[in-house]
Amino acid sequence: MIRLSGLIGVLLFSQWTFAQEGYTDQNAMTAKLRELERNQKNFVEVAELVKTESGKPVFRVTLSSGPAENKPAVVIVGGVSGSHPFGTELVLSLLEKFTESDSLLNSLNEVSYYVFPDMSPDAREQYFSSLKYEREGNSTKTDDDRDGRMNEDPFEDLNNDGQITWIRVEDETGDWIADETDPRALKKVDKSKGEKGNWAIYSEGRDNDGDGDLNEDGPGGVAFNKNFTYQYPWFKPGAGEFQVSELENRAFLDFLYERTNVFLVLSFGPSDNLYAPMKYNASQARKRVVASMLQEDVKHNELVSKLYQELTGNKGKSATGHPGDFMQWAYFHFGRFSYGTPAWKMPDMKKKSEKSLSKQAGQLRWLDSLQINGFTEWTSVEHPDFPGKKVEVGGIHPFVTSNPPASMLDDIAESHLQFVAEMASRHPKVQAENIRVESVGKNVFRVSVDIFNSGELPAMTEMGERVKWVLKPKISLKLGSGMNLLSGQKVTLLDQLKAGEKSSLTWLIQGKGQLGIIAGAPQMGSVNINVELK
Amino acid sequence: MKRLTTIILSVIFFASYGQDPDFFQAAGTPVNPKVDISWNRYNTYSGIENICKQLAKAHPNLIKLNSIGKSYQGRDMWMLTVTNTRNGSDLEKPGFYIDGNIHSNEIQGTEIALYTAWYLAEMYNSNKFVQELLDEKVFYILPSINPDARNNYMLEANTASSPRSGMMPIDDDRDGLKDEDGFDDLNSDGHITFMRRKNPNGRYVADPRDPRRLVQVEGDQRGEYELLGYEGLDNDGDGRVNEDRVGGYYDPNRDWAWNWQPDYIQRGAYKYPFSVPENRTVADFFMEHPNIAGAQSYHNSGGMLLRGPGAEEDLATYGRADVRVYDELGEMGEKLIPGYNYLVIYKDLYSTFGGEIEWFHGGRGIFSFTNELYTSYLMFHEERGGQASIYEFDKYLLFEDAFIKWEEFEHPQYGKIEIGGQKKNFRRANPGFLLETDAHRNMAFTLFHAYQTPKLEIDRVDVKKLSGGLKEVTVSVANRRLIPTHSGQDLKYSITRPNIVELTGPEVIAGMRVINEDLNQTVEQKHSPERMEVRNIPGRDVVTVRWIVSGGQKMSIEVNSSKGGKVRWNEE
Repeated sequence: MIRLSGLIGVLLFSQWTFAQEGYTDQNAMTAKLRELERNQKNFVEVAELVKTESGKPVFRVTLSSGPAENKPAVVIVGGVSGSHPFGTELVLSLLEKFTESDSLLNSLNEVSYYVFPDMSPDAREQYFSSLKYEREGNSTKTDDDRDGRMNEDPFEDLNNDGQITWIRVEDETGDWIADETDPRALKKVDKSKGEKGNWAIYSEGRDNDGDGDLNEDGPGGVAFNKNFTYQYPWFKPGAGEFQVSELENRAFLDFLYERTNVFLVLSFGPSDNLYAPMKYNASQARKRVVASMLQEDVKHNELVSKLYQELTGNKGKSATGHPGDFMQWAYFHFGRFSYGTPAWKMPDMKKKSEKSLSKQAGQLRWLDSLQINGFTEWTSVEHPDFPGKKVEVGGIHPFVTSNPPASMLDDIAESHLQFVAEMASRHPKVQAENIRVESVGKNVFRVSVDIFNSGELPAMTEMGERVKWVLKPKISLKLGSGMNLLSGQKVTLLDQLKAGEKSSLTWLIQGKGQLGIIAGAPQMGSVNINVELK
Repeated sequence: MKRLTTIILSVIFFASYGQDPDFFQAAGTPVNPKVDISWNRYNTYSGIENICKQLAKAHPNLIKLNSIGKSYQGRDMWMLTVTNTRNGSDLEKPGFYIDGNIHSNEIQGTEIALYTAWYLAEMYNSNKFVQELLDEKVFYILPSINPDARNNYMLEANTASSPRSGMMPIDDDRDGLKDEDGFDDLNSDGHITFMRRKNPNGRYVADPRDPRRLVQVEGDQRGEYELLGYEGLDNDGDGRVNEDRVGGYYDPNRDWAWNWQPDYIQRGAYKYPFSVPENRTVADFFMEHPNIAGAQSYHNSGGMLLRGPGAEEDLATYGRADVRVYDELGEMGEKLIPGYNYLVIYKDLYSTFGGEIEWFHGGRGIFSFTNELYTSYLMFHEERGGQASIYEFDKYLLFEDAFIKWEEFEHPQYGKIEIGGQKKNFRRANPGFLLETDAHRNMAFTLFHAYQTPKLEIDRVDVKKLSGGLKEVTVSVANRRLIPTHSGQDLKYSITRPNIVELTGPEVIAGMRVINEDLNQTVEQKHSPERMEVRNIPGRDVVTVRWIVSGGQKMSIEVNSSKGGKVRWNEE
């Protein structure tokens, strides 16, 4: 709380200061990651995954004790959306806290982590720029309105406050009116109930290309979180020309597809199945092009969401994913457990005594309650696209209602770290039990073993059973010299091994000596047993 | 069509004047080509490279050779750009893309693509139709889109169906190992044929009419052989033979972006669209060549002219207007290539997601076909003769060249077996003597398709004096061919930028599209009226724009269409 009041103090003195003062820009992030690596050389490796079109590095941080590939692994992703810089803040904080904790560093003997703090460096830069707007696209040149011209109609900061907010135009045909609970706020009227509006609203700027739309084609680009293959939104602004068209997305997937040890993917961005779990839809799940999480996996999502709610206090009404997003890709096409959350949402500010509260009035009430300077007063401007009309610029600032102040980071990171650690510890784990060697006479032995999953997760999701990039638990024999396999297979592949489930195997072997049994899969570890046939 | 026939007739007449001491021209074929190529054999990668280099060298004004990238194993992806290079940039002409061999065992598309490049270049000087084609259009010809695995197919031991994919190693059985149990050429003859074993409980006997062939016994009859599958061993001791082989299994033709689905929905899909490196080079090429208006991807076999959609889920991507265009092309194809049928992939063949031509159409708005080359119809010009006729064809027309005689072999897992059967170059690839015929007929279909890409002309410019020193300028732009500048799919998603009809010279006061000239229905374009945006110029149709201008300067009008090329008109 001391930090918070300090921050407010700063705000009071400088009008332009931002509510999320204290967020980490690209340079600071690079320095921070390098420092983490220096401080914990044995556990932290920082590498550049790829450079974006504009040359900004995308970092990968590997947390591991020894080669990361030898253990089940968790993927953590931030910067999923450029309009959600908090995701990056959170991941950086998780990294810091993790590497400061001996017990967590110790857990690297069991599990490795591949951490991607910022997958949208081009877009996230807009947050730190002198002109702030919620940008999701990278630096690839795109024709967002598909009119044959590139970036011809960007935003303009008409009131020079460094924020792209809104313009409102007095218009009898408009859909908005000033809200009676807070006249700074605009609320949408319901014309079907005979309500009348008097303002039309637009984003701040001009119609530079004279096509009748304002600010529909500015710089940027393709959004990381709209460029994946699951339910790809063809030709929608920000989606690119086709799936995985962008350097960031491609390098990321190329990396992930080679990491068969990944069992869990956690992403911090707008897609959310932790505030509330995904729902099962039988008819969508049965379709050839599967469009619902499968039943077993929904059950798991319910458990995990409950755990998340308990640890973080974050709760919501329904899960949200959107076409082309990363969170759903990691489940539907990559077959891994995939959980996502924005990690923070603005609280509901409606008082019990109130019948309703408009969205903007709620947002303003929240900003006021923390004394965050997130609103620009409506002021008149002359606007060339609306000659002779009353036009005002103002409104709620970008970012402020979807990203918490930096002062809240520590608490949020603390509870999310617990969640991450708990989830990681649940990895599937192979064990060999009840090893038996019986002599059946004449130099022939019967060897049997139970291959057991002692972890709290199945060897793979139900979806993963279908995905060829998820490896099957494998049991293979290493026969000593002169041994002869009379019955049983040298190599056995299991289609699944659920938590607490065992698979009993037996072989008949002729000949004495050392017999090796190797069992496991990259995402559940492996065991290596030697038995003596004598 | 009347016009095309006239052109073809005049070509035959014209070409018969060819003077050469040694040769006399056969109608429709270059009599003494600069590059002499045998069209009754197949080319390995180095063979393709040689032909491409010779063609580019012999026809510097018609053929440019470029590598558009590298294959997985680092081979150059050779692309021939075939056009009259002296009359403007290729990007300003409607483009037609041709490739072959995406499935590596489907080899003859390469020769047909090469034949097309060769034919166009060698006929250019003597044939008006070809001249017109290369003056107005550009052909982008990628003879093999899968050169690594083509070489594997030809140079290593394989069946007629292997490999179908490229050469990236892949873990087919999800055991963490890649390509650990492939075919084994047990008799070292370069072909993977069948293994059979004498077994009184088997259900096969030698066919009395042709003992090379096995037939299944009926009812209570006892057999003398059992079939053990393709030549191979259980290399990794997992109790299965040939289950994870080189070149298995991903399908380069399930790697394209439109309606892409992962492997569990669409077997053969790789990681994400264009994760197969050879395809990536082509996708990049398409993005850099928005002028491509038509495309053909040659496969084998079965004698089919295929269009999308590949999946029923994608029916809406092929709207009524587009289907009309496809139908006209496809019906002409059936006429030009006897034994071939015009079909729709999802309902007449099988369901596919992420196919190449579906991306061309769905993702880029390009009218595209896949021809499945060669059909057993070509053996005796009869429909579906069955297995027996294949043996007969081999016996009487190929003189048993396509068959490997059964011979004994001692197999480590199966004991005494026999190995034999049809060679890999039979059944799917055209036999040599049928290759040139099929190449020519398929090329003719593809040239018809290319001919029908948009041809724009400024049909008329009318100037009417208005009061106050103003003039009304009405311009009609015609598309003389079947294919519109923008397919229905293109319009639905605004894939390709609009056509631009631009007026320079006098000051433009206003610009409008004319919807109905007689009834004076117009729609004004408020922004940049001198650059009128026209969303589509339909096939065999005319669009009209109108300007209100001021000033007496001479007018210039330019039509600039991504897929329709550029045309200009200047006031005298």
